[in-house]
Amino acid sequence: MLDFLIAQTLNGLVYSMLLFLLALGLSLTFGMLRVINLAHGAFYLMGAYFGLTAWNLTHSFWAAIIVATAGAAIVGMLLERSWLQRFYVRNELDQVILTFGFALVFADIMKMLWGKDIHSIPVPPLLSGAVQIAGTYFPAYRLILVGVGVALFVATWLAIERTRTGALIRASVADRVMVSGLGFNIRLLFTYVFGFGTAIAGLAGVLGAPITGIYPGLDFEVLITTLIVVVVGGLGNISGAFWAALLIGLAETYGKALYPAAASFIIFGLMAAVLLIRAWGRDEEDVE
Amino acid sequence: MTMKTRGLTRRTLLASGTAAAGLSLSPTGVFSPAIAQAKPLRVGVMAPLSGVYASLGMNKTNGIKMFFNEQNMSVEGTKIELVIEDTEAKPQEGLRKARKLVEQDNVDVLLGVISSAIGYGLKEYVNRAKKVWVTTGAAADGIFKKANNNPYAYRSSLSVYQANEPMGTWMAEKGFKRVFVTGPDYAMGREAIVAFEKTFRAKGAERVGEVYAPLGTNDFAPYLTEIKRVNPDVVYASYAGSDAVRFVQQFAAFGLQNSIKLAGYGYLAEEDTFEAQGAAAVGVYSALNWAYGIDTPANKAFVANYRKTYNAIPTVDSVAGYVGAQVVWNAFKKLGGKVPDQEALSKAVLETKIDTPRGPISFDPDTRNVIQNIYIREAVKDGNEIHNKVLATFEAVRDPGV
Repeated sequence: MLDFLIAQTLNGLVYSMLLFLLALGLSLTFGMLRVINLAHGAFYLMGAYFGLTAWNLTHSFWAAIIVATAGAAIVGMLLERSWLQRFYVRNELDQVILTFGFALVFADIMKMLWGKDIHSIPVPPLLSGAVQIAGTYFPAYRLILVGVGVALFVATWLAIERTRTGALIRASVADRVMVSGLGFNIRLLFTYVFGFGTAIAGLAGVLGAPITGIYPGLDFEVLITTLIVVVVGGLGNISGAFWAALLIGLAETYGKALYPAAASFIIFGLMAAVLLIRAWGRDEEDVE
Repeated sequence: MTMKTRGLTRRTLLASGTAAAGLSLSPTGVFSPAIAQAKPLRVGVMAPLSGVYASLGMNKTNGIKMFFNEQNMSVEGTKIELVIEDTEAKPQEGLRKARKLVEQDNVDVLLGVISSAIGYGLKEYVNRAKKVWVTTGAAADGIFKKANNNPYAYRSSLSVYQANEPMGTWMAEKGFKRVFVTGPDYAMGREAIVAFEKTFRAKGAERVGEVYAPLGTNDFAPYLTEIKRVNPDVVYASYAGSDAVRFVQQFAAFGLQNSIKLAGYGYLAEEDTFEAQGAAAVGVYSALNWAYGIDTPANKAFVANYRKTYNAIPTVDSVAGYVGAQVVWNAFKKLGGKVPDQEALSKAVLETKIDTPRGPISFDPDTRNVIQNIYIREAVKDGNEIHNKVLATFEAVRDPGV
């Protein structure tokens, strides 16, 4: 029984961290820029494809990670510069239509470039083994994923709470006119923040590829789950996204193990419960 | 850290997100027919060319085109034209396209369709419209039964039952005793398991566990942990497509590959999943009506020509398209390159006795489902690639259709 608990908790943590990596980028751009980026799933898939190409050329997982992250960041910043910036002043429905349009365009371009087949990136040999934990073996790569998730959470949180740039970002969220009046280049800052968000999505894509695979349609599958995590965690709330990812990841894993028939209901049930209990949403509480 | 987001609540975000994701993502791809010539024979090809099954649809149409091209697009001196329509794997779209092909394009025969959801409705339609339809997909058991047999609908692909039933016998005779069954939680996934278990358990073997995962499950870890705990000698799985890639890979990542045999319905380990599955697929047993490694001249020629024509590895769907085209072409040939009426065409299809890359095939008059060989395959390394080789052949397998 204890074995079962430990093994399933580890499974749940891994799944949670994958969810968190996805939600982090979305939550961040949402919190800072107040833009709903429905193309977020496309950046995940794009990162995975960039990584795949890099892997095919170099057979190095590290190269794949760098290319995926940098590639998604560049495309993200270009998108923000050329289109999104003009939409900050418009209402959210316009932004939704714009980013969803880009999600479709990206999906088609990726189909043209990488085809419709299913691909995958193998786990690097160094991490392909299994680690013994409490009498059971667990894939090493999955444990690393948990570490990466936690590290990114702590780093992002510190960067926003404890650094000067973080303070600037928080200030611009509160009143962007005032901050630019003080002589800071807000537009550039926002471009970087958006690029950081899509970079994390691209990173999640390449790190998740050995587990989820890479194929057309994955972008939208991923988007739905990510939206649920972001909604449960509270819009634009990074620590909220972290805890929400843990809650949903663990609940779904235990659900699958104990009541397989109800597994797909569980995350939607959780979301409904959270919305009912805290219907106003954390986003409308005070800024700390 | 919490930030204020004016004007937007979680609910608006959710509403916009779900609305956006629900929108249709499928453009229509239509292949225009060639310029009409003197009384050419028209074949209406239906396949999902966009949407989730786009890759399967492309493989099928490639197989179809390749066969007709090998015959120079003609039969007994009569030209053959293909009119290709995209079904988008949606029932309403499939039926609409069938109507268009029959009522506007006036095709002589319908060929194709993958989704079983389209299959049920289309079978009713061709009976009313009196148009012969040879399907290269639609494998759900219920579509071709004795009870709903009609003279216009033929299935040249396979039924789920047909492929999985021999596997139970074979696995039991191999000495496997305790099975854990798993598959995607919808009709096909369960039908495959039921057919396998029927013969497997009849031989005295037992089921020690079962779990059905939602279609499109990303993480199989909870199920694999359960499998490890139960420790069966074999896992029988009916996953397909991206589910199959993930299941087989994660099965290996959790170290089960060395202690537990993985086996399943052929789509678990097929030519279109091997590249992504990699070494995790090696050693998987599966059953289907075709294997890359079938050692016959017909199959070798097919594989070589396909690789040359498309610079791609053929899959079971490419073969399904190819064989479907073979059935239609042979019926045309029997009628001397013309179709006097649909009754004559139906009779010609029913009398099919041909050799294909999958071996000899014919049709069962009671169900109009194909009678064919089922191959028990093992995934093996073949140079830099992974392919299925044949371990055993069950000859002339028919679906009783009851």
